[in-house]
This record gives sequence, structure tokens and C-alpha cells, in this order.
Amino acid sequence: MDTLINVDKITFEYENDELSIDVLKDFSVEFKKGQFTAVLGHNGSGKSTLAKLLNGLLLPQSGKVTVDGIDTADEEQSINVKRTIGMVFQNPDNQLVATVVDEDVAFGLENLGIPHEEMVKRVDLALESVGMLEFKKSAPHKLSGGQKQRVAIAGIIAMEPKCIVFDEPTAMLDPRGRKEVIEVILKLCREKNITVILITHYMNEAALADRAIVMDKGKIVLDGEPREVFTHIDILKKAGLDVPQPTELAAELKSRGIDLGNILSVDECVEALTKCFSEE
Amino acid sequence: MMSDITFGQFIDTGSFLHKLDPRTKLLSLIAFIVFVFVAGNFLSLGLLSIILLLAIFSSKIPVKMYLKNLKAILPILIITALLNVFYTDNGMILLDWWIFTVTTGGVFRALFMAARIILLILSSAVLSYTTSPTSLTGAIESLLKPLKYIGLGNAVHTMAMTMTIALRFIPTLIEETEKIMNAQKARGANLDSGNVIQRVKALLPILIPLLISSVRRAYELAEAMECRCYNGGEGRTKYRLMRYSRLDFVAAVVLLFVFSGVILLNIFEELVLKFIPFI
Amino acid sequence: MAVIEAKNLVFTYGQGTPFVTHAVNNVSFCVNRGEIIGIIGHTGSGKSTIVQMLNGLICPEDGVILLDNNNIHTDFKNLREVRFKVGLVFQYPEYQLFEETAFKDIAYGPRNMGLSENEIYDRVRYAAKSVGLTDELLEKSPFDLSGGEKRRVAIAGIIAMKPDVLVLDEPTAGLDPKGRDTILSLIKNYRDETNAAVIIVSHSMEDMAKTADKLLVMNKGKIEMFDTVSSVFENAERLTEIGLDIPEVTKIAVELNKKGFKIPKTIYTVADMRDAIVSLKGGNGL
Repeated sequence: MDTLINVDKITFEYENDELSIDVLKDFSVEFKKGQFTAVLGHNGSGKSTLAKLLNGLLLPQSGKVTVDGIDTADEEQSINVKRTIGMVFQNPDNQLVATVVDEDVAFGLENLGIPHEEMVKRVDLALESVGMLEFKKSAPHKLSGGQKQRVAIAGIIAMEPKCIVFDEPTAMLDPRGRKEVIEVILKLCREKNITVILITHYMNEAALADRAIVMDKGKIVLDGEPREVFTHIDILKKAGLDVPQPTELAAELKSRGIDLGNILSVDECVEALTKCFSEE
Repeated sequence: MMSDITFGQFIDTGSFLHKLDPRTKLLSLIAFIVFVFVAGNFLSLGLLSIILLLAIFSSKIPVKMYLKNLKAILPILIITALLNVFYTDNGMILLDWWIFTVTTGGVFRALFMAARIILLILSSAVLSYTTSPTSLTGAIESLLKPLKYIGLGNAVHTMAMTMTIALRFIPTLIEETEKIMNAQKARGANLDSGNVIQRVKALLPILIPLLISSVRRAYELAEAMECRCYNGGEGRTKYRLMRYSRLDFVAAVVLLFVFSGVILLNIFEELVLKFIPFI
Repeated sequence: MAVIEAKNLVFTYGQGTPFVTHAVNNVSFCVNRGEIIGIIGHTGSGKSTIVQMLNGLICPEDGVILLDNNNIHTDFKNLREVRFKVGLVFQYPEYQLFEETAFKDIAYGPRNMGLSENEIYDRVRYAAKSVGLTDELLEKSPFDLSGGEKRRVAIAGIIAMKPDVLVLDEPTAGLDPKGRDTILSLIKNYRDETNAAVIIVSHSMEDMAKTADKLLVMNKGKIEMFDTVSSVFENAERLTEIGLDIPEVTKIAVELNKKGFKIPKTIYTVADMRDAIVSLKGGNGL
């Protein structure tokens, strides 16, 4: 697979911050095209800073972030970088600009100078792909959190980015909204082949990814397939994260001599246990 | 709930007034207001009232909604009318008591002023009921476009963008204010007693969090806008296109006739009155 | 002995419009001293309306709320007194902070109570200690603190009023696992120390299973269940039916039950599940 984003030995520190927990030092990582990567970590682990470095919202003090061959520090290309890497934030309220849903989705397209007929098509398509077409004429403040977040996603999809970075998109939503948003993210990745980088601290969301990166104190402590990453229960707990209950249960049972293998989900666990009981 | 209240009162009934270009409606309203003041007698004001009534009925919005607007300004109406009654002293004296003198001239003048205010309020209501705040903003931006020739193009765009964002966030901020008020009440805040200074002081626990949260929102919104390639007004295309249609042409012609009528009635008042002897 | 009791509460939204919705429909429950009650339900199930009724921010259309057997709307001088006794921590309470220092912010409630400066000082220290804020943090501006610290300052602001009933609306919303665990354990500690009644509104069945003694499950403005945690989980299928998330181990137990394996459905912790499986497996082997 080709590399879409290359983060090469970057350093980033917030100025005038006596605490400066949110620091990345000599940090490198690569994101491949079409992959769904989850970046996990507790608040202050540097994961949100990383997100903002990926599309040039922040620039590294040293080192280089390259997006599809473009250096994010290249000011002339700044629009192209943002066009390639879309970004969805945590607070659904604070990223909607217009008073009507479809006008909000069109906002990015207007900025890019897309011709009107094309814009109309793209707005409808984007709203359809997040299941919000019927709310096209609604006012954003009348929508639920999950619906607002889906509109925000539509606004990004309409710009047809190669990659979308989601910075804790479900942190402020109720379980229903969380489910809606995750379903949309999965669909984008699987059906539209958009590269997804999901910053989160919900392990069950990360379990759906192709790759999980765990960050702690500005460093990557684990990186691999979720199935593999989740077996390192100690490291996860040290990084201030939860372990999904089925995974933890499998680990506990293993220590009692019942080996179910690596378990990620409820279904897998039920299946393995059924098999295990039936063997008797 | 409180957050349902916005100063946009748009009600979509799909009438022909709704279909008119917002620029037509905005310009018509401005012209109408000018002519309310141009109209110098009851005849010309009557002509304006007829056309306004036609507009009100064709908006398909319940008349009750319009009356609500009048109810809100009733005190102003009464005060204006009273001032005019007592400060005008021509015509026949109807009542003379202590320092108050009521004359026929005064009564006519009071009625005339009241009618003017009613026309102003109702005509504005027609615009706000039939035009969404967003298209109104678009109309203002579009009408001010010529300002770019004197180097104010960016200023016009910035103003329109600011208005849009304000419209978008007013309901959100109202909701937030409600929430913060309740949170401080839960900590025993006393918002409705004490003298003026105490009351202003009691508002700080609400205003400060509101200010801080607005700044945070503004910052986050700016970031989100940057991520969506916002770069000022230059090179932007428009999603919401405004096109004048035949309807706009018809409306403009009708209004032109009405306004000419107002001027004619102003000039030839006496002549007209002669033809209608029963007035 | 019930410290707070709700009797037949009714509240509707949109009165006089075609869209009348019963936000709260004939809800009754009581909470004893020293109990932690978890209120669970969807957005719009009436949870938030109920908690705002408990301290008189919303007045029920019908029904009464008794605080130590006194009607909060008729038996108190004013509702402020009720609010000092029923401390309500709103969702995202850090957005209400406004003072120059965390100390002063926590002192806001006690100051409104009209306490002496000494008493205020003691209460702030006490509240800060219960939420684990150091002296150094107390002197900082609340806006310079981290998200989790801000939340704790806000909770301390209510605890400093020493309420008999502590009500928290989604106290862990938006926090990471570490921050969430800290908040839940400090709430438990507060209960243990003061024997106050605690009511927590939450979306997370898992958190409530860990923290609460009893669960009050709301569905469409009505009480669906009100019982101990394990008894509520006995109806796990019903919980899923009304669209609530049950803990993943409980899901596993329900599924295994369907397949005929005898695992109690009341299980909600990994450790209990492990033991149940080990014993079942061992039993089978013998």
C-alpha cells in the first residue's frame, strides 16, 4: 500500500505552557492509503496535537509532515493539504457555519470555488452518504448531536478528501449518536475507500480499525492490528485506557488455563466459549 | 423552549411571496417604507394599505401572526398617538380640559401617525415571515456587491459571513445562557432580588462563563473553517444562487404603479376628493 | 429512611401545540441516605427533567417532591434553601466556572448560603480534599486547569455546600477512562464519608453497574425498572429491547444462556464472569 501521510521525526511543543504535557519529540509515523487507523490515548497523550499536525493546522517546530508528497509547511500548498486531509472535530456545534444544513455542507465547496451545478450534486451525494438527506433544509440547532456530527462529516466528504481525520468525534455524543457516527465512518472507509484516522479513547471503536496506535506521553507505545494490540493489557492500562471486556475476560480465562485465543468482540467471545464448552 | 425563539420569524408556506427573490423583497420593503413617509394624506396611505393587505393575504400566513406583531408595539402606538393628539392644535376643538386640548386636527394627525407605524411594522413582518434570515443575508451581500468597485468587496463579504455565523449561533448561545443560569441557580445564585449593583454583580457568574465559552466556540469554529479551506471572500462560488424571475418583474411593475399612485394622490388630493363627494 | 421522595411527577413539553410530549409521566421513587442511584435512559427519556425537578429548577405540573418529608415547593422559605440541600451538578459543569481562582469558585455556593468566612474556608478545603485537588491547584485560575481538573473543581463547588442529596447529570461525559474512573470513585468516597444520598444520571450501563447500588431505568418518560443492579440485569433482554446498552460481559452471558449454558444473566463484571465460566467448565469436567 502507498503511504499517504508521512510524519518524519517531528518535534512539537506548545509555547507559553509551563506544563507542556502535550509534546511530541522526535516523533515518526506513517499512514497508508485506504487504511482505517485508530489512534488511542488518554487526554494529554498528544493524540489531538498529532491530528492537527496532519493537515497543517499546526506546523512542527522541526521535522517534516508530508501529505501525498506535499510538505504541510509549504504555505502555497496549504489549501491543497487541507483539501486532501479533511478534519472532523469533537464538538459538533462548533464546526457548523450555516443556518441551513445543505448550505453548511456547501461551505467548503464554496471556498474551493466549485461551480454551482457540481456543488448541488456533491451536497446531495454527501448528505445521502451520511443518511441526512431528509434533513437537507433543517436548521442545525434542531438536530441531535449525532445528526449534527453527521452533517459535519458530510461537509468534509463533499470536498472529496483522500483522508479524513476524526478528532474524538463521539466524545460528546450519547450511545445512539455514537453508533450513528461510527457506522458512517466505517462506511466511508469500506465503501468509499477514504483513508480514516480516528482519534479516540473508546476501545470498542478502535476494535473496528485495521490498525491501532496507542500513544502515551507523546510517544507511540503500541502499534499494530487491534487484535494484537489489545493483548497488551498492562501497557494499555498504564496508558490510561480501558480494555474491552471480552478481551479482558479472555485474558483472565487464559490465566486460569482456558485459552480462547485473541478475542475482540462479544460475538467472538460467545463463539469461542461455545466451542470451549462443547469440547467437553 | 427558549431556544426556539430567533429573530428570524421565517414561516415557509410556499406562497408566491416566498418565491420572490429576496433582493426584490428587500428593495420593495425599503421603497415601501420611504413611500409610507412620502404619503401625505389618508388617500395615499390607503392605497399603500390596500397593497399591503394584498401581500399579507397572499403570504398564506395566519393573520393572527401579523396581529401579534402589532400587539407587541401597542404601547408605542398609544404613546405616539397621544403625543400627537395633545401637541396638535388646529381644527375644531373637541375637548378642552386643564392643560389638555383635543382638536379634530389632533385626532386626524394621531390616527395618521398610528397608521404609518402600523404600515411600517406590518410591511417589515411580511418580509421577515416570507424570507429566511439566510437569504436575507445573501440579498444584502448581493445588493452591496457594487461596493467592491470602491475597494470594499472584502468588507461586504466579511459582514455577510459575520451575519450568517451570528444567525447560526444565536440559538446555541441562548440555550447555553439558559444552562449556565440554571447551573448557577443550583449553586444558590440569586438573580432576581437586590438593588441594581447587586443584580449586576449577580450576573457576572453568568456573563463570564458565557463570554469564555463564546471565545472558545469562536476559536474552534475558526479552526474548523480553516480546515474547510476558508480563505476569505476571494474566489468563492455561491451555493445559493439568486435569480430574478418573471414574478419579480411583475412585483416590481405593480409596486411602481402603486408608488406612482401615491405621488399622484399626494398632488391631486383635492381633485380626487371632489370626485368622491361622500368623503 | 428516605431523604428524598418523588411522588407521581408529571411534566409535559409543548403544552398547547400539536406536539405535546410527556417528558415525565407519573414517576415516583424514593432514595435513602447512603444510597447511590443510577438513572439510566436515552436522551429524551426524561432523566434530565427529573433531576432538575429534584432541586426545584423545573416545577412539576403534577406530583410532589419531598425532602425529609417536606414538600420542596410549599414547606421551604424559598427554593434556594432546597438547592443547598439537593446539590445538582450539571452536565459539563466546568463551563460554569467563572472566578479568578479555583478556591473562589468553589466558595461561590457556600458564600451564597451566607456562611461565615471561616466556615467558607473550611468547606472549600474540605470539598477540595474530597475531589483530590491540591493547594497549589486551588490558587490557580480554573481556566488554566486540565479538563479533568476543571470538572473536579466544579463538583467540589457543589460538595462544598454539603448537600444531603448529591445529584450529578452525566458526570463523566467527554472524559477519558482515567478521568472517568477518578470521578466515579470520588463520588463513591463522598457517599461513604457523608452518608449522603447520591443520584447519578448516566448513559453508561457499565459505569453504573460499577458505581450504583440501585438502577432506575427510564423509558419514554416512565420508570421501566427500579431495582438493585443485578436484578435489573436479570431483565437484560428488556434493556436491549428499549435500546439501552448492557455491559459486554452481560451480553456474553445472555448469548450463552440462549445456547443453553447456565451462566447467570445477572453478571456484569469480568471477574464474576471468569469465575462463572471456570466453575461451569470445572463442573462439566467432573
